[in-house]
Amino acid sequence: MLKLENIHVSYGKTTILHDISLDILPGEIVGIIGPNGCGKTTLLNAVSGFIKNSSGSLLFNENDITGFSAHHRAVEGIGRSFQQAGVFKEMTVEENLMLAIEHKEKYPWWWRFSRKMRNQADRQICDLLSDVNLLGHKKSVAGVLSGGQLRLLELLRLRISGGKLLLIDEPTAGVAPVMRQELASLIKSLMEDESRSIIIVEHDLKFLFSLVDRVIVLVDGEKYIEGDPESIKKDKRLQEVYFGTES
Amino acid sequence: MSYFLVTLLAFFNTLINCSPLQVLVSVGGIFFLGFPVMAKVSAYTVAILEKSDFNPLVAMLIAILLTIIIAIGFYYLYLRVSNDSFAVIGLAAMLAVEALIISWDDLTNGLLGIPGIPRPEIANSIPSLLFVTILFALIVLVFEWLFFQTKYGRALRAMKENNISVEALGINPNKIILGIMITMAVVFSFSTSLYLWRVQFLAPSFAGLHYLILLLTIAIMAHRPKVTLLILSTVFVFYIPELLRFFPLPSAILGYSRLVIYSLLLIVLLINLSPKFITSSRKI
Repeated sequence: MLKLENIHVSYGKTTILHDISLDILPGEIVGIIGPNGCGKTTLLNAVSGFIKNSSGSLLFNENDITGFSAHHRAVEGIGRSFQQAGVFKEMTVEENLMLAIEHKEKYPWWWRFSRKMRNQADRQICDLLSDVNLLGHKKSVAGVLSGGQLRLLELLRLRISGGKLLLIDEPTAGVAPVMRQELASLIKSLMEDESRSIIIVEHDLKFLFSLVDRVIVLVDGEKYIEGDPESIKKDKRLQEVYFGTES
Repeated sequence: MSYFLVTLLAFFNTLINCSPLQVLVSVGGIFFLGFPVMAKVSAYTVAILEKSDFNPLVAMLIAILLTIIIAIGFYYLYLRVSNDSFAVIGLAAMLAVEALIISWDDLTNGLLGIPGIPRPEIANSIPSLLFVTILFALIVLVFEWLFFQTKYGRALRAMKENNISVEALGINPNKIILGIMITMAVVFSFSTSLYLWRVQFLAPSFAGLHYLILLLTIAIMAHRPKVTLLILSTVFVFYIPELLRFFPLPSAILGYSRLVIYSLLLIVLLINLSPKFITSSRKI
């Protein structure tokens, strides 16, 4: 589905990602972990097109998307959520989802004047909001939602517009522990819906290991360890990464 | 009666100009201060061509084309600089064009301006000009209302909050900005022509700082995507200083009092609205 070949990313003279090669299979959930500043979010930015890689190539569904802009990659089917929820807080919850639906489904500009299309979109929005118990907030401005509810809303938007590969950056950031299970279920359902592939960057290792098929540990912009969650948990190098070596 | 008609004409003219500004500056959060350049270039094109015996409507069409080219130029600058720098560039461009107009005496008649600009057949009297202006204002306002209902209007509102998230939805924000800037060029050219046919004289001070502050104050006051709010803001900002005429103030003070009121109003509005106003974010 996604193939990264020798990706390098630099900000000025500082290299953030060194020679990253990666294969993401259809229906696979891959977790990216590592200490702060190791290049996790930069990797997602490089895949989603928000920063340009200085060398290397990206293949998505066997198409070379290296030169594609961020919105072009989104149209091709690479969805993205952000560390700080990218919800539009001055718009209503309904409008947030409407924005995703109308662009994904390529509705004509006049669609709000067609009762049939309005009802169709309204039904879709109500169904999605019911799934995550947010229906009561449909007409609320998104800014009034809690951190967890904002995440749910962002993931719903991703479900609508996401395409075949979803890049999720720190989904539990600012989310109360009681909501994490709900988030995990929603992320799993995102994968099961259309056999999507997902890349998650996350600091909460327990949360991450319960979701993913494979884990990649980045250190200083390089792929340091790669494996299934069980083997990574047991790998002593992981403890070194997070807690350092005994001297 | 004549005073009433002339102020009504000026009111609708201001309303027309503020419509695209409300869309781009207030709703879209793009601090574009180069719009007087569009107005100046358009006005001088129409005036010079009409004085060279061009048909007024043909002159207006040529002015529209020229202003569209300027809009595209500003769009490319917008793509290359930050929002703050874009504001400064707009202001600098306005001053540069004003200096050029004053110094290019042969073409623009310099500080003396261009008098005797003929009116077209369809607007050869104040009432007929008022009719055309109101008709155009209605078209512009309906168009703006429709825009706010569409997916592009929603995308523009979202862009003010978070450009990056909009792109992540597969929307090309730059296409929307280009569309608005070109529409702005057309609207400004048309309304500038209407202004010239009203006053039949063009001074180099036209579309200067006073004009910028007036329009910006109205556009920022109408900070929500509502056409009714734009109309109310225009009524408020346009007619409140108009009331000063009925106070026995010396004429030397009266002339500047409007600018003082607009400037103070703009400062108050920016203090109260700026967190909501310039929030366009390019951070991830």
